[in-house]
Amino acid sequence: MKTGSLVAAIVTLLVANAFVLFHAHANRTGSADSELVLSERELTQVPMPNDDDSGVALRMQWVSPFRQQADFLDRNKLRSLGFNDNFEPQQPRRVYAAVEYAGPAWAAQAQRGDTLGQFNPDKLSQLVAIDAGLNPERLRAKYPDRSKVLVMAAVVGMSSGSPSKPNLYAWISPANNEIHVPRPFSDQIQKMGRSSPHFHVHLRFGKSFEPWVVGVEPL
Amino acid sequence: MANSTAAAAQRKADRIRALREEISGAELRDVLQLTHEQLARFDEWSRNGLQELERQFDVDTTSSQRRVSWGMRIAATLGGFALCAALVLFFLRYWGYLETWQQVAILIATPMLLLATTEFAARRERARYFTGLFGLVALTAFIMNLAVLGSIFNLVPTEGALLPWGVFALLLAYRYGLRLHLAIGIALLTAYAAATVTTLQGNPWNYFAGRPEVFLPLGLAVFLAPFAIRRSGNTDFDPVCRQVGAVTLLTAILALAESGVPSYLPWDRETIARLYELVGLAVSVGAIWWGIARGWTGTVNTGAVFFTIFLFTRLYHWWWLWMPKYLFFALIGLLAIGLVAAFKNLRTRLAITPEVGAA
Repeated sequence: MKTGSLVAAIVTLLVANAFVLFHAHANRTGSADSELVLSERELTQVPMPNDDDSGVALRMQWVSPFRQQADFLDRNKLRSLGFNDNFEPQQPRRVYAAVEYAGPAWAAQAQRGDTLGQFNPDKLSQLVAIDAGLNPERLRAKYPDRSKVLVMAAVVGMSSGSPSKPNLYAWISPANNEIHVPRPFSDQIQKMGRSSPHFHVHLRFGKSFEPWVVGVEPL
Repeated sequence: MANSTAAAAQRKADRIRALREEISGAELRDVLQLTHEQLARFDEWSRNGLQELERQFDVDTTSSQRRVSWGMRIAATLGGFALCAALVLFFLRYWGYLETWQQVAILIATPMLLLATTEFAARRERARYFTGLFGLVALTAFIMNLAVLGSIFNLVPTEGALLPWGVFALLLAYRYGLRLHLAIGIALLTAYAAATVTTLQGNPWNYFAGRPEVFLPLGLAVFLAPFAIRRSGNTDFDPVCRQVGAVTLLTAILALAESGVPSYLPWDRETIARLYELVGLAVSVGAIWWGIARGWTGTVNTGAVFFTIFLFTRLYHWWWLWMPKYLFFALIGLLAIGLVAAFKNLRTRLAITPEVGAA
């Protein structure tokens, strides 16, 4: 057997891993795009089905679990995101979202009290998507407060409503809402146990708008 | 290359064994009477031939060996899948106790180690049972490697990982003659191509299955690939390419005909669905015809299965709502009997064997 294909297989392994590690390194070096301190309302611990997974991950929740219906997703905005003018149910689109923490948008939602019919402000996430765009740098320029607004990858879609709400509606949700918690921070979270833990998580977003955990404070 | 020669050697061993069994039988002795000397020479020639094939290529020379080999292949494949699951679950069980740099080191080292194990097994055995098993685990380890790395660093998932996975699977397939890896590699690269088209259109990559039309040219390209890529070895790979290509193409057409998924065509959904139904029937008939003409059993079978599915779904659309259900199933049954009769007639007409010694 010639060794060319074996060398090619080894090179494939190494190059793929190098690419991933370089991307992760590039995201985390230099100044962060944003850094927020979030609580267990915004970052809930992902329940592991059994003891077969010892890792710890947090799930980022916006003000609506799963998909947020947002007032800013009007026809003009949807058109700018690439949806066609028919506005019938279409394939979702990749975007970047500006997500505000504990700001006016959340206060308005709290006052309206119309999130999923059941509203408990103590348990509700204070993250609210307030805008979306195809260019993350332009979005950041529009919302320069890096301690209050984070920019992250998201997905915008259009769906038909339920029989009680038949109209077409647009929604937005995070592209990747699970955040791995490395050691030693994962040890702190695991010590708290699963029953109603209270903690603050320092979350940083890098140049590629991808997050990582830089601190955990049990409360 | 070794595997294609082994496959040809196995076919030759099967022919020699069949010939030995026929010549030993009473029926042939009435037609072909060999002298003792001729029988002895044939016996010596066939025994030496089988021994040489067994020595060189580790082929099965008896029916019992063949049955045991099938068992070994099944056991090796199932064992491979079980080891894959064990590897992933083992890592998940303990990774939470490791520091990030330890996780990264283990993730990168594991597929390398398993690749070395696969290479070691390939150099020690000719039949490639253990090679296939370790190759499957090495591929799984590489998939786990990139998937978990992305998860550790919270990278937004993209279609990019499908490319190195597919390339790695193809490299293993071609180096060790592993058909399962070839099928997996083609599937991964097809998914990568479809996902890339999806992201270029601004959609999330994991929605690529929502546009089956992307798979039409891809399936066709995979099916026709053996014509474009001429190889001296691994001739057993051509049927795998055709099979994966045919299934991809016909499954995409079926989805477009039945599921009402979005299409690039500027017509209403009903028209598009009817169009793809006709296309599906035509393509599956074409697959049967071409497969018979070229002797491609897999293509004929795939065409027949999809033809049946297209036909029965069309009948369902026509009859189900208004026809009494007992009558619907009776007609389907009669149609199935008709199809069996038609295929039997076709089979009889194809069972013309050439004269012995004819050019």
